[in-house]
Amino acid sequence: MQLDVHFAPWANTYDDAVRPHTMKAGEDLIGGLRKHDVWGRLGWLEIKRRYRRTIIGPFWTCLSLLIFVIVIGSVGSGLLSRQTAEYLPFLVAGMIVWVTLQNTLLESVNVFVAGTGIIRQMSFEYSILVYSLVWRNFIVFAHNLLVYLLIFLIFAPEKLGFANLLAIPGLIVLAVNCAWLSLLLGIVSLRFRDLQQLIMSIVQVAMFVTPLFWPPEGLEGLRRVLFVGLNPLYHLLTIVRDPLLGGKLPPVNSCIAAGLITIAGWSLTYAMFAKFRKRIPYWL
Amino acid sequence: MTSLILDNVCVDFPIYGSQRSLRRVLFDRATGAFVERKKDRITVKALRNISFTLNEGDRLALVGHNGAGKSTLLKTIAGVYHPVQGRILVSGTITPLFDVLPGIDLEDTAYENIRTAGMLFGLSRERIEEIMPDIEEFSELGEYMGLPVRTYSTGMTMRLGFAFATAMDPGILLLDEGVGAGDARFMERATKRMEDFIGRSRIVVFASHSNALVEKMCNKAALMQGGCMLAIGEVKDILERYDALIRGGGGVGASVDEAVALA
Repeated sequence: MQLDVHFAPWANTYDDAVRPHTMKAGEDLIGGLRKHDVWGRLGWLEIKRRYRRTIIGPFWTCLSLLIFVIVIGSVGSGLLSRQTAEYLPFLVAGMIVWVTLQNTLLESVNVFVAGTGIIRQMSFEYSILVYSLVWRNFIVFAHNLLVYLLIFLIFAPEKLGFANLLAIPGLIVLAVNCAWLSLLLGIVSLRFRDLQQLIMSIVQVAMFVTPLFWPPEGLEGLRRVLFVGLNPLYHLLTIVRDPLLGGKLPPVNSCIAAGLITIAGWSLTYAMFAKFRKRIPYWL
Repeated sequence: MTSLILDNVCVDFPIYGSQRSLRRVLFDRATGAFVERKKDRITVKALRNISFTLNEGDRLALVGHNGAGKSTLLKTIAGVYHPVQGRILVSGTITPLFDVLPGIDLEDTAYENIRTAGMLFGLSRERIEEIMPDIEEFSELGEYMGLPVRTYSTGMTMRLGFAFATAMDPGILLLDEGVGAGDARFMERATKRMEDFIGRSRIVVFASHSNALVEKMCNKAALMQGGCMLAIGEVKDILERYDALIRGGGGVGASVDEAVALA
């Protein structure tokens, strides 16, 4: 095995190439990212396991999303008195992004516990576990794109075009944010096991509070500031959803907000990871 | 030049019980009781001030009672646990061979698990495919290689782990006792393979209860008790001291009481 002792070029050097056997947070994050074959495989195997012994396999996630969108879409278009043909595409574009974000949040509280079998056996980049979690949720996103395509082909084929590919930069930003979210939640919830329950209830409420079933224009005044402007999930959602809705450019505000969230989130997460990385095996 | 240096290494395990709750900590912080609570947090001092240097060709046996800190020491050298104090310096690659394949998943087949573990250890895809026939042959799992590991018996899972681990190229080999159990026939083959494997390693640290194995495999030994390294030196001398310790009744109970301290 090549558990080469990692060291940064800027670190102190010792005689005879003897290195301290430790890994720093930065080395972990960057070294882990480079091992894409490892996290790619771990993420992929998890998907394979989930659907082993089922007949339609990964398409279960598509089917359940499809059912959800059609049923909620029919009720919602009635409640909000909007055309089904107009409401369903709006709902599905939001839902495929939301499902990715939501599952990442829910799974991240267990990211290190699920990796116990590796953490207790060897020294490796813990960030690999985080990248594999984000990766597998984006594989699910790719599956769910089928539902998106289906709904749009039926109800709004004119809104499908190359301009929708503008969602790709948004998706990359979303993935970068999912990574810090799951690393941060993973660390904190390992030490404080209450967090899992807390995240579950937050995610549940956030689904209704974030403009997912209703358009952000539907709220006004203080409520709009509170649930739309100050809602980080809304900005991460909208930078992907708007381009999916017929190639619209997301609002500049949201792009700036998403950038700020990325910087702030990663700064906080990096500080936490640098401080507590060593404690992770002890907290398991 | 392969070498392994431990410099005053200490490892403490905090034991979290009911206080592992956000509410408790927030509440205590708010009421200013945090410092006090810390006093009754139990810490097990698993390793205390361990220092030694191993150079190329050294084969060190760790002997001592259960709970003396042998496995913790191995896992600390492997980089699983980070010392709270002191440092570990290494030159060379470390191969830990503990109880199971790292990242083993019972739903996956042997082939899949070997590929996962191999990649975690940083082997290239080509290298993994190269060692695969050797693992197939030595583990004697036959058709089972393509079945989920959950269908295996305990012995079969162990054979798989052993066959995989010993197929690698060890630099600094860390071996925990009990690796490679199985039926008598397998044990015989395993012992031979293990000797060859240890022979290929540059440095070996080996935790064992078997005096025969230690005498055969190692050229140095260290006696551990209660997280301390009591002595390190020639195999013969250390085994004698260990026997004296057993007969002297320095039993497990004493060392555990000693090891649990209020931080």
